[in-house]
Amino acid sequence: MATQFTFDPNRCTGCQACVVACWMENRAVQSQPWRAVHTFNACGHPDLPVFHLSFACHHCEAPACLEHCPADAYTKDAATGAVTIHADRCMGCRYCTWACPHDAPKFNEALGTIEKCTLCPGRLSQGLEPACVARCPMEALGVSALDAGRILVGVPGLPPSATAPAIAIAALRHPEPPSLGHRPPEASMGPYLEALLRVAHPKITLRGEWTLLLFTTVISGLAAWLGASLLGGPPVHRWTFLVLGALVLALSTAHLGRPERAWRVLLHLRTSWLSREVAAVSLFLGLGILATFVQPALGLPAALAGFGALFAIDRLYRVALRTGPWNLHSAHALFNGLFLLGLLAGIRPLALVLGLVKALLYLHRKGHFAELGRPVRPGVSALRLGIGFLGPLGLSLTHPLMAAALAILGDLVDRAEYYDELEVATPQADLRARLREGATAPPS
Amino acid sequence: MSVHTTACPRNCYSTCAMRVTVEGGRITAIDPHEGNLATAEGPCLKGLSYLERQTSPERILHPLRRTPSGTFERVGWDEALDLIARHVDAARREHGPQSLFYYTGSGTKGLLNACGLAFWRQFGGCTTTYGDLCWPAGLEATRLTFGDNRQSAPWDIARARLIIMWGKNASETNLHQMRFVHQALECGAKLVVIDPRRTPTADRAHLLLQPRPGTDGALALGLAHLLIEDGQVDEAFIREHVLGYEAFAALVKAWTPVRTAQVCGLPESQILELADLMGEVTPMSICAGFGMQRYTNGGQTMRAIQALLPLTGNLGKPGAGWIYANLATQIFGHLKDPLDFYPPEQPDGVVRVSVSTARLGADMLAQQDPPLKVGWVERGNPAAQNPETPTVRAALRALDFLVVVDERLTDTAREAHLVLPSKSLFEQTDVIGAYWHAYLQIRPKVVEPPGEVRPETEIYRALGERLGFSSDQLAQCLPEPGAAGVEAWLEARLAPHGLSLDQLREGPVLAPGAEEIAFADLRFSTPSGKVELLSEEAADRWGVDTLPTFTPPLESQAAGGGQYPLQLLTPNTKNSIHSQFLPLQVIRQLMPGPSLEMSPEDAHLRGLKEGDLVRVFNGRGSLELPLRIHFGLRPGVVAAFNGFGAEDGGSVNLLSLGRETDLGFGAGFHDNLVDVERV
Repeated sequence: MATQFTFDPNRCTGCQACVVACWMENRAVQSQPWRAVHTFNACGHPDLPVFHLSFACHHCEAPACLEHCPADAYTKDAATGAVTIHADRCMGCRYCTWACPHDAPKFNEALGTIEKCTLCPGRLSQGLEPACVARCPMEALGVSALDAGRILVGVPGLPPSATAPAIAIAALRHPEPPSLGHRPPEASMGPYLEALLRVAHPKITLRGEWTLLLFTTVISGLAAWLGASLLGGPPVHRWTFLVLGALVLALSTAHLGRPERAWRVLLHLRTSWLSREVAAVSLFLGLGILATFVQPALGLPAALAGFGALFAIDRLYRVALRTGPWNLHSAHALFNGLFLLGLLAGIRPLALVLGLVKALLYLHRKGHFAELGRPVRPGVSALRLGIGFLGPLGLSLTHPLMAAALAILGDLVDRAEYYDELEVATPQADLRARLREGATAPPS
Repeated sequence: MSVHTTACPRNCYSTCAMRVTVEGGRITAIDPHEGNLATAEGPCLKGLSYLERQTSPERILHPLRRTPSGTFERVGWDEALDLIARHVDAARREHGPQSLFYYTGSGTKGLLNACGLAFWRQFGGCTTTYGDLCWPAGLEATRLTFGDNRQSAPWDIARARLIIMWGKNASETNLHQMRFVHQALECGAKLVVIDPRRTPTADRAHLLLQPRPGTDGALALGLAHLLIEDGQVDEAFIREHVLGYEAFAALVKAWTPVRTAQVCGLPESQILELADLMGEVTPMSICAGFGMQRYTNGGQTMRAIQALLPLTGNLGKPGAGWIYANLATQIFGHLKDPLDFYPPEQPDGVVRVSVSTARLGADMLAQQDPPLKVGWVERGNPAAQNPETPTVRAALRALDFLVVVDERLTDTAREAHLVLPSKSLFEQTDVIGAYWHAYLQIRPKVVEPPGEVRPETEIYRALGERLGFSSDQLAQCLPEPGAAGVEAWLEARLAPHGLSLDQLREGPVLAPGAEEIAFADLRFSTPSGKVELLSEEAADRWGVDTLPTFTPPLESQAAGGGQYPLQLLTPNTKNSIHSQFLPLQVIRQLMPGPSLEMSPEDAHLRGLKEGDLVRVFNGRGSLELPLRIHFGLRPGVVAAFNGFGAEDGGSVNLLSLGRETDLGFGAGFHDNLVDVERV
């Protein structure tokens, strides 16, 4: 029988016995809590109710973790619906922690692999409820047969996604706060609210992902260089190509929790853009090395594979929070590659159009994140636009290599900022967005 | 693998039944026990966290002696017991047995707890405390008004149509009660919460009133005024069952909505709205918490609130009544609380009951003929949890020798010359009562104590042998050694009530005399046999007005404030029972440390930001805490959970003052004004 969690926020007092119950059951293999209690409006904004949500893995019907895992480490049980991570197949790339909008997969630092809620298969097979359900003192958490009619849209804590989480959440009996006798003036609430709405612990940070920054920048640079060399641009220096390619491959492999399982990355080409990206990058570097060292005729397929890899890179970042309706942004690897191509090959219209598009998208993205309360950093922006757009466009005719170097520098700044601004969908982010929305609405 | 019925013995309303699984001599799981209908869905996170607590590296596993440098070194039991024997014997010889001070807190429930005082009686006597930190003002108020502390079964509240949670945050302190509250709400009942904080409980309510701390009595009188003015009282009930109605009506005449609103700092409209609900919706249950009776006017506050029930005829019927304390399980002694912790009217000359728990430090220091020389502390952490930490510390340090029995090195244990390890709830069989539900429950021995841990009864036996107690003397105060001796001792206490350990092993048993509906016969064991709004005994025994008049707490905004503008609340968190549980990792990951909650208005006024390290201070002391802004807190009020100790920067009692409540020898340490500044 396919199973779903049920949750009633009217009954939950936020006691967190479920978190401890889960630890009790799984403490031998758990390095951090798999279940979390999220509180909406913990600051007690007078326009909004306060309620709690106890979430672990929702064992989605269309699990994003499983779809996006490059190593084919996830399975979904046909009978119970349980989504399982097989740690012995996991290479520790952590991509599922970005892809899952429900914040279910957790990275075990000690083992270098992912762990998460299992739905207690051992208990289920004995006819017992999962540990968290059995030990919820408030009857707030439950399990039942999967209900196709459960409501998944507009439910607090469930970010919009195509994952069809297997959880039915009851509506609040009183969606309004209790009738209060007192409302703090906006002037005193405002600054504190702003501070509270800032992201406290972003999942993706530049500090954590600098190897990825290097990887994407180098690949777009090499792809553009190789492409440009076919179009009359400066020839590729083969040793530079070899060394840089090997370096970023090594670095990104070292970035894995279990580097020795890096080969597994190609096991899920069927649905995972990460698998496809690595396949395309490998193809590009392989063909590129052959083209530069052995057989120049391979240059064109190599360049095509390179730009294919850039497309794949951009696709895999789509799991991160969108900036605007088309999720276009100036740090797109493909745009970077084409911009560089234009500069190196001396195709000025291409460079001009791409440069302009990137500059506009950059400003748009900055505006978007500024609205979300992120730091604006005008100095960095000036640097990025000055060095990354004006510099290269000015130099492109006379010094194409210098222009490309400046463009890469600008893109590094751009992408570095992008990593710091990236936010993947999570229950917390969804609740924060709702708080922002509800708290700034005019009081009823 | 074996599974046993047990129960959580902490000082908590819920006193949950649990099933504990033991594998290979270790606790491996804790699960709900459906035999206790009040807690059938299982314990809270604290109950589950015993899994860690049982084997926590924080646990003391052998006697520890403090070295001159202040650290602790391991000593053997023989050495420890010889040391104690030498000190207590010398004190007895030189100053008399009453120079030994015996202090117990509420750390663990159990019938065997009585062995301690019985032992010191055999020793020749001791000095001990009267009163209690917890609930006496409310107990005494209830006794004066209704004659006895009785309440309906926990699940009866599901039948209420109006529930008033008055100063009680059940979602954190009695979460199992919220299950029944939700059942009522699902049937359309209304929930009103009265609390200066917007608590998790308040967020399930229809209406939240946030009065100025310590003015709940005034609010009750104002509500009574409206009920009487509007003719929304149950005249027949009052005629038959209430003493002093006319005098009470005359008292509340002056408590107009305008005046009430002014004193309580509430909008008049909320008072009118609540009075309307009380007049129109029945049955009404009023659930009163313990916090508001820890002000110096706490007893009178509780009497005033209680008056609302007889006025509206909400007594003795399903879904109605006063929910404060259920003493049905107190069947093993001749006195029930609160009388049990009053000083005896006729001192017996053996045990001197002369130290007020509320003024522990000052009274300990003040004892003469003899002064206190040796201290023994069990099941308590007075250096963190009693009012006025610095004075308590000074009094403990003034002793020649202090023994503390505990599971871990608490702030109090760190003051000791000798620390003895105490058993956990899984290491010696005992029987426990409760104070919200009426179940008697067993807490059996299911594992051997780790390390060199010995149950207190065995510590006393070994000490008694060293002090030359005769076997008869030992038998007078202690069970025979070993598990069989303990079980026989317990059986002897259960038998008169027709109960046995085997019965309790099956599951929780309702105490004989447990009631589904309290006062269903509408007989009240007061002097008049009626509900006493006017109590002569209140005046005779305590010197308060015969009526539940309102006077502001001595140290409060309602009394005009003074130098320090903010009222400090020190509530309980769901994550601990006072200073227990907080060191556990499983708890710390959910609550990393203490903080101070403040309204945005007060923070704005002081230019403080969320997360700032602030100093909370008054003339008595100061405490540094990170600031948390809460938009739902009444301005003028700040709140810090109690339970944290020196390791986390200090106890909230660095700021409190030891003084008694108006009734019942409680501790009025919630009279506490402070100010806050950035560090």
